[in-house]
Amino acid sequence: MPNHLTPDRLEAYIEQTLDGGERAVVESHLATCAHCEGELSDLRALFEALESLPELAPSAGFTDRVMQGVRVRRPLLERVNEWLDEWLGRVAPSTNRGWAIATTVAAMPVLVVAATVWWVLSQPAVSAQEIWVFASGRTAMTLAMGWEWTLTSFAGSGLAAWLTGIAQLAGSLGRAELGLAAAVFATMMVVSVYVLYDNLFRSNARRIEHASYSF
Amino acid sequence: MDYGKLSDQDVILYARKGRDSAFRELIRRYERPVFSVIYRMVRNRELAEDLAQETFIKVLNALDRYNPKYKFSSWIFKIAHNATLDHLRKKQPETLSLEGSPHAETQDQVDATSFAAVDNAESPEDYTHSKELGSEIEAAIQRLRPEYRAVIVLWHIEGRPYDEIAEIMDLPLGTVKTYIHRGRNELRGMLQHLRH
Repeated sequence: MPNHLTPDRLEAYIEQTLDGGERAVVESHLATCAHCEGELSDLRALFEALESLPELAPSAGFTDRVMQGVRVRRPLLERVNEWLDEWLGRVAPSTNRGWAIATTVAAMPVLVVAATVWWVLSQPAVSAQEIWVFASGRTAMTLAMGWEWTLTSFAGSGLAAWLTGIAQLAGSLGRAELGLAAAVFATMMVVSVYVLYDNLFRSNARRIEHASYSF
Repeated sequence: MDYGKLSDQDVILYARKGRDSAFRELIRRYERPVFSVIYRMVRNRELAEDLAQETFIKVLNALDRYNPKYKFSSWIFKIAHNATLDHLRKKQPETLSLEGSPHAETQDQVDATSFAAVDNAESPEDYTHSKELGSEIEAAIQRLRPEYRAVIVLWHIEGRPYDEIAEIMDLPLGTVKTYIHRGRNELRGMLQHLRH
């Protein structure tokens, strides 16, 4: 019985995965062996039949049915922009006349303020310099009162007492304890910064290995 | 947005940014291949649609975990393959191995992994449908054990390379080649009556 080509080699020949030398050997055998030639043509027919099978499509509406189960998470900024676009689309005028009215209404406060300033300055007993001195004096006084109120409120608050306690405790500690406390504090800061960075900037980069995809 | 010229990886980036249209593009690209593979495994349109839908929902909801180093097609086919096998194992064990495990080497092992019942998943309507597809060959594929069926469909019909099939099915490359070789042999046997 002649040494026929194995099915493996015939398949590799059709798949064109044989190297040049092997391919030449197979071809020269095929040229003289009707049995292997027949096997090859059978195999080719099978390959062609399989490759002619069509891809099948799911029924209409498949995409919408899938999308109903998909959570599309859009960034906050994009959602805010979309909301603004939608809102502007609703409130913005759609005609030239509408825009004219909207512009007039928007300009009214400016016109009113301008008219008031013009009227005040047109009075004989009032000058621009006097108004500036009056306004800046009142502003400085209001800021000073606000600062004083803030300091007084802080001095009487629980936070001030707590900070004072911390300062007294730190004063009573030796160098070693202070160093240890500083090291713990620094470590906590570093960990906090890393956690923030990991959650804010690296969330999309978290991946699992392809080999372990499972649900 | 025209996604036509973008790679899967680029479309996925848009999907991760929350673009609804990018998700739809991924579905458009893969609905036919994924559905075809599942349908040829389970031979029931309604069930195949359910499994394909489940596959897409799982994949699209997990895009954040997709590693772009690997082909998206391998990933989605892997999920589809697993969903199909899970279904076949849980719901219709008789479809799993009519002739025992392909790993069985002795008659005892074959008996231990065989089911006497024939595959009853295919309704008369589906059978008619497969005939309408012109297909003695479809029917022959259906008679293969699931492992062989999967490699035959993925290689011959979907045109996936061996290494990708190995990844999809979580099998060594050599095993994939063995399965496809055995699958072809069985098909040739089943289709012998068509020889001229």
